[in-house]
Amino acid sequence: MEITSRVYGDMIVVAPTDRVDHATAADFERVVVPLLDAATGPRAGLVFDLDRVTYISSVGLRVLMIASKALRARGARVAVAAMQPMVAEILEICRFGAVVEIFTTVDAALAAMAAGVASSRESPTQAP
Amino acid sequence: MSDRRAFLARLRMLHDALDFVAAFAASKNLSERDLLRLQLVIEELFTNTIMHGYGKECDEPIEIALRAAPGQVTVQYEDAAGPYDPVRALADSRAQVSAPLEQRPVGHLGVHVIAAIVDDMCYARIGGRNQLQVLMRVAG
Repeated sequence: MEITSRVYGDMIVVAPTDRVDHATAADFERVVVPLLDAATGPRAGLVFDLDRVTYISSVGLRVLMIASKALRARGARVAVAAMQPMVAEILEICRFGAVVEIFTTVDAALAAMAAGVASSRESPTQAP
Repeated sequence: MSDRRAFLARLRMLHDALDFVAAFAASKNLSERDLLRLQLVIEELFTNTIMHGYGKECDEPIEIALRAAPGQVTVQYEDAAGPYDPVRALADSRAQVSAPLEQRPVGHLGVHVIAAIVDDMCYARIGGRNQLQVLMRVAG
């Protein structure tokens, strides 16, 4: 698995690739944990760009959960973006909509964080 | 006829188990999505057995049998660890996924992933072994 991270002001985008599973979760965690301290500032946030992730098992979800607990405790935001259908299904079933904000694109996530607005998935006007 | 293999309870053997699943899926022309679903189930069961069943990596057995019928795949999963009923564990932990973030445990998601993917799960403790039969409906 390759993992890249990019900084946009107070916001950081992390992009793992392929499978986030028992073989790769330790590397994923090793990259993510230092970033939790780096995400500071009034618009601080971490976005997981999952566009190139094809598979995530519970060890990967565990890393997302760790990130969410740490960041939200400090008032920072955490989001996932661009999930493939299988990954979206797994997060939905584990009710991760309450753990991370969900966006269809990284740009939408960054824009929402910069503007201080909620995810569109949380909008009460969303059609059922 | 089913494809059956035994694996040692070690994480590097999980890699072999996932390859076993991939080969089975290819031979039955399963869709990419159904292959991923099957691999997720096996990964979650396998790691549960190592981490919680046996408590550590060891040379104890994990046996997996796969069978395909029209529109479904059956997995028979067996280990020799202490009694562990994933069906019961799931029922006991259902409340956890609905709890507020601060109260949610960091782990314990494996059974939920399994339950989300499969269509039926049946557990039995026989002859000192945990036996789990899982049914997954598949496309085509």
